[in-house]
Amino acid sequence: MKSADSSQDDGPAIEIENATCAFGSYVAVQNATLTLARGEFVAIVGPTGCGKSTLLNVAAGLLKPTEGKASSFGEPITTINRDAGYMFQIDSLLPWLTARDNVALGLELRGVAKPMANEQAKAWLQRVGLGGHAEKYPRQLSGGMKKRVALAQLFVLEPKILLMDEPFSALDIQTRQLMENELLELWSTERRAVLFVTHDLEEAISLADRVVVLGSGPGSRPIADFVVDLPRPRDVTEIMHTARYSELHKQIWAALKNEVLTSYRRSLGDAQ
Amino acid sequence: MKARQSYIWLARGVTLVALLLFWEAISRHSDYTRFFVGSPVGVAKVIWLWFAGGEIYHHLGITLLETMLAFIIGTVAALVAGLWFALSPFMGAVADPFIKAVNTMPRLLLAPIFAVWFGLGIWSKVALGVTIVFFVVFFNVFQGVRDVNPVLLAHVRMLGATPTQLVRRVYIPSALTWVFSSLHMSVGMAFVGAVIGEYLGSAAGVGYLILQAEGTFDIDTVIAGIVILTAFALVLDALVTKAERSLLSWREDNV
Repeated sequence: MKSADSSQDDGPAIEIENATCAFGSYVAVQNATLTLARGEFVAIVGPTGCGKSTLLNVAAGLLKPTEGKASSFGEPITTINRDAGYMFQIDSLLPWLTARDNVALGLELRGVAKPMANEQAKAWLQRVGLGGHAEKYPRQLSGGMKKRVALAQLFVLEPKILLMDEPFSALDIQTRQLMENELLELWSTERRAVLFVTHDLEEAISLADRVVVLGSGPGSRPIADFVVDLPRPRDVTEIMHTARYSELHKQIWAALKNEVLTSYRRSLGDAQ
Repeated sequence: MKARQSYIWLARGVTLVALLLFWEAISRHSDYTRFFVGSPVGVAKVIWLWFAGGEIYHHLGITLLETMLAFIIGTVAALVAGLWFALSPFMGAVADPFIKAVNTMPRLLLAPIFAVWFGLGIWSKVALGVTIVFFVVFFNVFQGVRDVNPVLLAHVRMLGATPTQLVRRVYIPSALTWVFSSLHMSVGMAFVGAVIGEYLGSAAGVGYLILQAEGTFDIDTVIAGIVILTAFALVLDALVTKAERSLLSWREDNV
């Protein structure tokens, strides 16, 4: 409860300072500093295995940095960050619950009575276009539908921060663009802070206010930071054709390219 | 598809009748073969007399009671222990060699000890059944809990679950799939425990009937006992399948 009061005036949504995350002798992230302002949409791009998810887990409170500090709205993150909602890359709906029960689960865990939770869950399923599929199990839903349920599950809790780990990477390109637009629309009604991890630069630019490039691992950290000054509201299928988009893409790719190549060479070296 | 299904049933029926006729033929070959293999007609007669005379109900009731008690106590104990050991790495590590040792032990030989501890009534048979059922279910619960997808756990934790809620909402439902596959096996094993226990020393139960018949070399009665036990084991298995269907309905392919 105290975070509800203090969050009105203290600090940015997420602040990670000089964080180092080591797993045994492997250092995934070294001296990383990252700030996510309130209501800001930040995309993190970088080569595979560069510790993008590690930073998200720190922000979520699922992982404690070996060194350095992490705080959310001015308060140190010591346990699960209750202001944050997390959307995972792989499908993480509970297979034994219906779509409605999956969406209602978070509310129930937080003490909302079942009938009330169900009602809110149904309303959110309606909003993501799945009103008629509330009683279906995840197994009976397509990949895109499951992502919609996951979005409803995320938004029904009204988190102040959204942490998204390549949420749409498993989808085909058309479904993916639909989901990206859906996300932008949900986000625009009430601007929450978003930390969106992706390996896809196009996705990063079309969605975010700011793109942070992470260096190649191990021991990676943010090496470049670009403001995306494209106008909103955006349509991800159309924005790619603007001149400013191409310009930004060229700039950011210049920074990213080296890291991708380094990372690729290193992976070849490891294999030999 | 339908026609094919009925052909399968027809073939099954033909096979059964052929086997019974073959058996009866051997049995009628001479007095020696009659003595050694019994006869299907003789077995049917025994079963008919048991049910008509009402003698069997008491014995069958005792055996079923022992089986159900062993099954329920063994399963519940295994669920609790399995969850506890799997969720607490320290306990799991400490208990591991003991569990392995007790599991490898030929536990049917504990029957005489249980007879001394619990007497010749039903409880020594229940104890024997429990020691068998427990381990089958235990290892499956253990595996089921270890098998939980870590991303599901992280996800439900992010949704706000406390450790207790995590057990109830994720670990137990996830382990249930494993538990049910073990219940099919353990319901049969509970039966084995009960009957072997009776066979080794008792005053009632189907195992006791079989033991008595064996004393007089009455093969028909021994086989009749086995047939009855098989029939009831199938009934119990069907009950487990029914429970499985309703509890794991989310897995069904034709919901």
